[in-house]
Amino acid sequence: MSRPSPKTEILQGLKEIFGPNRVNDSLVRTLVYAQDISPISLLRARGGEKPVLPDFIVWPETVEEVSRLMRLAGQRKIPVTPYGGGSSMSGASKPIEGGIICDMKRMKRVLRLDEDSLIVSAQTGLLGVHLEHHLQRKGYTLGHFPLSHHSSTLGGMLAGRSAGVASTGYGRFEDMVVSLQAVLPDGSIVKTRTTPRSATGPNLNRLFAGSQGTLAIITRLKLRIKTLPPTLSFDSYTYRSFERGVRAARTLLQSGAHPAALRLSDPKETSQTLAGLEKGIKGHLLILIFEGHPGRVTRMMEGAGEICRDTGGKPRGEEPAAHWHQRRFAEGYRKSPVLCRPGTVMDSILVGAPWSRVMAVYEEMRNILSKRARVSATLSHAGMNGATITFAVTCETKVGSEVDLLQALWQDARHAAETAGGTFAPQRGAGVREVRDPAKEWGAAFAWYREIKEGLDPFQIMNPGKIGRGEGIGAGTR
Amino acid sequence: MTIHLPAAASAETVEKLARIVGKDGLSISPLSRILYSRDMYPVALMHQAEGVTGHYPQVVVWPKKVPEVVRVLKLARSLRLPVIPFGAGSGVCGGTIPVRGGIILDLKKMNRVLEVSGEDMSFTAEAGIMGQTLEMELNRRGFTMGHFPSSIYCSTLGGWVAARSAGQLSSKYGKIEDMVLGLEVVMPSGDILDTLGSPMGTAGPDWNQLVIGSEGTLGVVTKVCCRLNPLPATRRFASFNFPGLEAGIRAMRMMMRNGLRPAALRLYDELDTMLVGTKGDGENTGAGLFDYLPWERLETRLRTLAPGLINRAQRFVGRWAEVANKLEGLNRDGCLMILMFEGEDAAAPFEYENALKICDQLGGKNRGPEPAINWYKNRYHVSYKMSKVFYYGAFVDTVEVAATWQKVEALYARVRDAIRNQAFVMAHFSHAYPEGCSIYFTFISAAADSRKAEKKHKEVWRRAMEATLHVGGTISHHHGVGLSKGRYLVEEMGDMMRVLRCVKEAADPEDILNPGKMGL
Repeated sequence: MSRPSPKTEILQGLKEIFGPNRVNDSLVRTLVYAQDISPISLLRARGGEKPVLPDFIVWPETVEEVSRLMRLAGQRKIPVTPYGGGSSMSGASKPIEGGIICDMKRMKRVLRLDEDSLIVSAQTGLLGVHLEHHLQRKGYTLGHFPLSHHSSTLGGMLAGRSAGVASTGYGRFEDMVVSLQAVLPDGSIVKTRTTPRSATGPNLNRLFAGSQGTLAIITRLKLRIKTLPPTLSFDSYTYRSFERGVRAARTLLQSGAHPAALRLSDPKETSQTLAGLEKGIKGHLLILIFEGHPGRVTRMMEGAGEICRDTGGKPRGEEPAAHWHQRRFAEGYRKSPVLCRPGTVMDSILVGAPWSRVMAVYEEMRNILSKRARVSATLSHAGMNGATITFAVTCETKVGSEVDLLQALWQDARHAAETAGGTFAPQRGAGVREVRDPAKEWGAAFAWYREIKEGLDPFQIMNPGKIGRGEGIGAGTR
Repeated sequence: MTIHLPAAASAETVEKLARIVGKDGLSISPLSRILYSRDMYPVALMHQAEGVTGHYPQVVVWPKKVPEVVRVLKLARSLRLPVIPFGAGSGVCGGTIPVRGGIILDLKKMNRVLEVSGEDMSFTAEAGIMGQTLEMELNRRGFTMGHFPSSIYCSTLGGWVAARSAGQLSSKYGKIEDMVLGLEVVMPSGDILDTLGSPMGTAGPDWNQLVIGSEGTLGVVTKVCCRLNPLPATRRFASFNFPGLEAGIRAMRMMMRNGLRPAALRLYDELDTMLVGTKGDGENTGAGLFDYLPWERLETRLRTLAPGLINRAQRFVGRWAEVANKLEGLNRDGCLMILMFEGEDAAAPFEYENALKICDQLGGKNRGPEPAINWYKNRYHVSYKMSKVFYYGAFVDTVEVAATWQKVEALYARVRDAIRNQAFVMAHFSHAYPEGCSIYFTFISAAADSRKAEKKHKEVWRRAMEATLHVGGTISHHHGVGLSKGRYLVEEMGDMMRVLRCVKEAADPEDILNPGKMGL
């Protein structure tokens, strides 16, 4: 009698945990889960390169199942990659060393709504849009609206330090996290305490935020929510130059006005934003959205309007802002057909900078990137101290050399960002291994991170090949 | 009285350190070693009153620049000598007590403001700068940090970061962890963790948030970049009396829920209200209690007439404190709330009007601006009154815990009930957030001798901490963990303590930095 192969044994073990229907190792399934939507892996897939396939996909429904999964994986030394909506653009959820994909989407319950403390507790496989619907029905909002709102999970948002289009008003996703429950690589279930604030050591929520599934599987989150604002008001202005728009945005945010969203786009982005709006509005468009109680909104809008006009803005009314707001989630989907065109390279590069360096970043990035690609820029995620600029790049090249070109673009971007004093933004978390270098970006923190990883995950089973091994942030492809 | 100091650092170690910081940059004098043997932890103060604090550093070092800090850490590591980063020593949890001896690394000579940028609304300063010096420097340039702990005259920027400090106006400006944009931290390896260059964050975990609150156990914070605020153009004060705590807490919650951000928002329980109301300075340590009785005169008389009665009088203080808990039955004013709004011209009055409406709707009786103005004027006095209490042979301490709104009332009741037969206890609610607030208990008690006092003090703390953990609150909102709350932190964290230990071991495998703290 021959011993069953290790793979058969693991499958058997998984079935003991998940039953026959929540384990899958079919080719179709494993192919689907081998990909995320990072441009570099899409380019590779388009070029016919076969990605590394996971061996199994499992769908846990309880934290105990996740715990048992991790214990089994530890015994078998088999990798586990947590998976949410698969909308990552960083390669973070790609199972680059095979193993088990742990798809969290069946852990999607809203567990509790504490209306006094404005805290919602939910499992991490819940899609952002579903949580938001649940909350809005009860008169609340999370205020987190990433472009991937319809295709990303709470766990993924935390793992990638997501920022939504209303981050100016509501903060980034990690700001909303009050506490979390997680399963460590050894299977132990741990949680942070639910408290408004505390002075009891480091904020460990922030260790897991941005860890890209390399330290633990996050199973539950308690999130700060807000009452649904009774009023939503739009306004927009155009400027003769990006610089003038930047000055307006900065002055406005530092004046104490608190827009929920603020967005400044260059003429190219403006024309895309306003496509379908027959107004012929051109220029650098500043979009403002205010929300809250009517009196407060009116007061803030008046103050903001004054600043915008004083800084040379031409009032364009509410329509451009409302138009953008209505179509904000469609943006990502509009780009997909272009991405699939052979010979076309498309990506977006997010660079954050303090206000004093925002214009330098804008100029330097455009100068360098435009040598190889068409570039358009949008400023968002702005606050008192600075902002993020998203550079959308598109270019054509010989079929087959798209990946090389994309890598070259990222190298250029790194150089330009460094020269101008900006940093690649957290929410485009990860980026691909070939272009982002955590040892360089994090400095001494990188050695610290590796030791923490080693301590929590000595067998390197949590999402291996990503940041933990020092090969780069996010996944590479092989 | 003779103090027996353990041996100071060896001549060889001193020589090596002197090569780094110069002969003037260190001290092994008994005076220095005694002065740096404690912070403001009340138990350490009791010990000091007896002349023995127990734990002495082998040497005190004052570095002037980052490379010196790096070299001191490398040397300490090679000699396996503990290093305790030190700011101004105003901590109340024993966080800087050198329980295993070693080097006190006092950062106060690293005290420059390096950059103030109105464009970025941020500043960068060295960690050893004193709070008030920093605030005055920022004020001169038209800004405020918005961070006003009552220790502002005796605490440093680095100390704030280390302990997750909160200022009195945190409801508007946030706690220190909300203000920090970047840090420079010398790690135990001697590597420099530098996030100053990326104030907008980078991918991966947020390293600032791991260092903040680490109380000197993970690295030595040497530079801090924080956001700035414009100096407020206007200020509005208001005070209300609520019929009971419940209505007052509800008013606090509704203000935060509706997006109002009062700079100061404090609600006093009945006992605290009585004392605040009588004294009119809006803040008290319990020292006020002693003002009702002519203790000083009495004591002088007793000293001359019947010295033996002094001890009995001091014992009476303890008893009297217990009786004083029952005073709340006499309270006719309910609970006092004080409010202060500040900021730009348009917003502050608007928020003020809305807050008034909320208080009115919930049964608050408007008492005008005076109590709030009085509080504001006297807001830093509290800490300096405490010594008076110790002088009378009694002790005073504060417990600052926090919970979500749903648990706040239970937290208050549980903690108070747990300690009220041990000590006179009063409380105020402050540092409000949309999801909850903190409760600041002041307790005061006495015992026949210092040994008994210490025992009683520990017992009060044990009861308060256990009650807090039982309700699901956090054991500290802004004082930190230090030496005194280590074991309760372990309980609060549960299995998550493993992760904290892992973070510590990853940074400091030899346990050089501030060992024996935070339950590590």
